[in-house]
Amino acid sequence: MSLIIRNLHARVKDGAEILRGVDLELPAGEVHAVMGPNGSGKSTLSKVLCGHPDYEVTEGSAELDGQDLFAMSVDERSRAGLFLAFQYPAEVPGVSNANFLRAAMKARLPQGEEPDAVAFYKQLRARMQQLGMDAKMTARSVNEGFSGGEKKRNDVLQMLMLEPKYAILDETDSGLDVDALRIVSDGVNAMRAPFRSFLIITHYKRLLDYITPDVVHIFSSGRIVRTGGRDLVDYIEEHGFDFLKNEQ
Amino acid sequence: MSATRQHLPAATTTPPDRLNEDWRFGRPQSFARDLIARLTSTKESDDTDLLSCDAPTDWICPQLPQDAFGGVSIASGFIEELALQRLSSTLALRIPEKADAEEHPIRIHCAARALTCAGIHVEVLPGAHVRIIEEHEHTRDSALVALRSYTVHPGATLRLELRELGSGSSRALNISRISCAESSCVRQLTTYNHHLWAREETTAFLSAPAADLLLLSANRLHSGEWLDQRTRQLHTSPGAKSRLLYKNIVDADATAIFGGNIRVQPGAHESDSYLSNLNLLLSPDATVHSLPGLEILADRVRCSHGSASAPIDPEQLFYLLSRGIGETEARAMLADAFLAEVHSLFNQA
Ligand SMILES: Nc1ncnc2c1ncn2[C@@H]1O[C@H](COP(=O)(O)OP(=O)(O)OP(=O)(O)O)[C@@H](O)[C@H]1O
Ligand SMILES: [Mg+2]
Repeated sequence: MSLIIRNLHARVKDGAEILRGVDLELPAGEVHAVMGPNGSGKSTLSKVLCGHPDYEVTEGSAELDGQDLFAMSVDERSRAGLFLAFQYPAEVPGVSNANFLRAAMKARLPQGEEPDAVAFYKQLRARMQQLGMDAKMTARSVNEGFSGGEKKRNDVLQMLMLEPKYAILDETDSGLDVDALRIVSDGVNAMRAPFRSFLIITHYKRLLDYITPDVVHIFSSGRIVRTGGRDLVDYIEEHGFDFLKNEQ
Repeated sequence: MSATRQHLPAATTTPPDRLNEDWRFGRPQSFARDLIARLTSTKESDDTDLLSCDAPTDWICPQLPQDAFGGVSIASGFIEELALQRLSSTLALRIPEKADAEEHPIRIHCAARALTCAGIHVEVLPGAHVRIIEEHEHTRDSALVALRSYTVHPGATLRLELRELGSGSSRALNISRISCAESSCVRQLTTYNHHLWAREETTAFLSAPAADLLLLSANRLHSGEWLDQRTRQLHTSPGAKSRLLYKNIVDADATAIFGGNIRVQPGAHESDSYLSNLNLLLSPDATVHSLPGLEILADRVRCSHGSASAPIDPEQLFYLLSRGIGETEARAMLADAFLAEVHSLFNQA
């Protein structure tokens, strides 16, 4: 059981190539961190995996538990267990948080079945409490007028509710205050399980002090250029990404 | 019939032209021919009264006031006159002073047949608070011309919902006037469903200070349907407020037309007004012509207008899909969400 990405090339539709041969294997149960300079393609990788319509895969493959990821539609990928907490979550005016989540839960049930309303709201309230979110947020439109940190928490709330097998967190720590960072990290740590993995994209060591990664990847110019253990995080914290220049 | 032919309306399906006031208040396009043919034919008769109302009987007046209707159409004056001559279904309602009918709405029901010319005259007397649901229910191939006049007296509030329940092959023309007196509060929501052709001509008079008007419309247009809405917000007194938000979901090869105008008359200082027409296009074959406008002849006013037509936001759609919601469901949710703003404005306390 794993997410396997091989020689992945992708470009902006009718535009420049951004991913230039990504190789990555994320086995079930592991936490991998991805670090890399601004504009190197980290968000593009996560959106390509989810099937964002702006991008086109030109070469390579991705398998999710043995299934061809790129043969699935965006919603199928989600129901197959893939989740992305966005760097910039979209605002959806007019769709309440509660209805949005209920629709997402319903999509996971057999046709015609509805989630049990009492159990749903009980779980929702508990998860929101866990994340320190105001109960009033359930009635508000998805992310509309939310602060940066509130949006991030809202994406994490969705992750806690949908319990994906493969969760990608794209700079979820950016914009979180210190307390929120701890709360979100605790949430992720509580979800760690032998059947679940995380790909954590971040610029900061601080998050990786809370969520200890098994593997660290350095992303540069559309590829993974180095893979190692936690010590890579300390190395980058100290030296930055300058060393990449000599390697290319 | 030759006289009729001279008055046959020109099609106004050409795109709007900002310099052409004729477009904004253009005559109803070719669909109206059929309506005029019915209005001028002796065959089409409609003798029975097809209007009913569940208000207390002493609120219903036996007779219409003199000059209850007429003279408020926006470019359909000819049709308005024809309809006046054969007005067969009429209702005159007077909500007494300080009456409280907010909790339980008054229902007005109009059944449209082959040709129904209806006149609805409502006066909300000072200090009354009332909710009215006006339903126009259509049968196959029906045609309705409704002349509507709502006068809201000082300190009164009216929350009015007009539901046009089309039959798929029906036509409707609503010519409405809404008069708002001092410190009155009026909210109207119109919804047009399943009409082959519908046209709305609404003129609102803001003729006293502190009048507060909100005009709303929320519609879904399906294949082959036309909706043509023309509005005027006339500020003749200083210190009144009027807002308008009309939203349409335009699917398949449906057409939505909007021409609206805020006019602030000389002396109507400190008017506060806006006008907004937004369209969600669900298909590349959908057509929208929208032309909101302002005419400001007074000082210290706050007026704005806007219009936008766009397909479903791909980022919003992607967000829903990325959480596992199927595409059909996701699109339906976003379409509902588009109209949700209108409903929530109408339902706000
Ligand atoms: N839809 C798009 N259209 C045009 N250019 C794009 C698009 N998406 C990404 N890019 C470009 O691809 C490059 C990689 O962007 P991406 O957002 O993946 O970087 P990132 O590694 O996530 O950066 P950051 O650390 O700043 O979040 C950038 O140069 C960006 O401008
Ligand atoms: Mg990024």
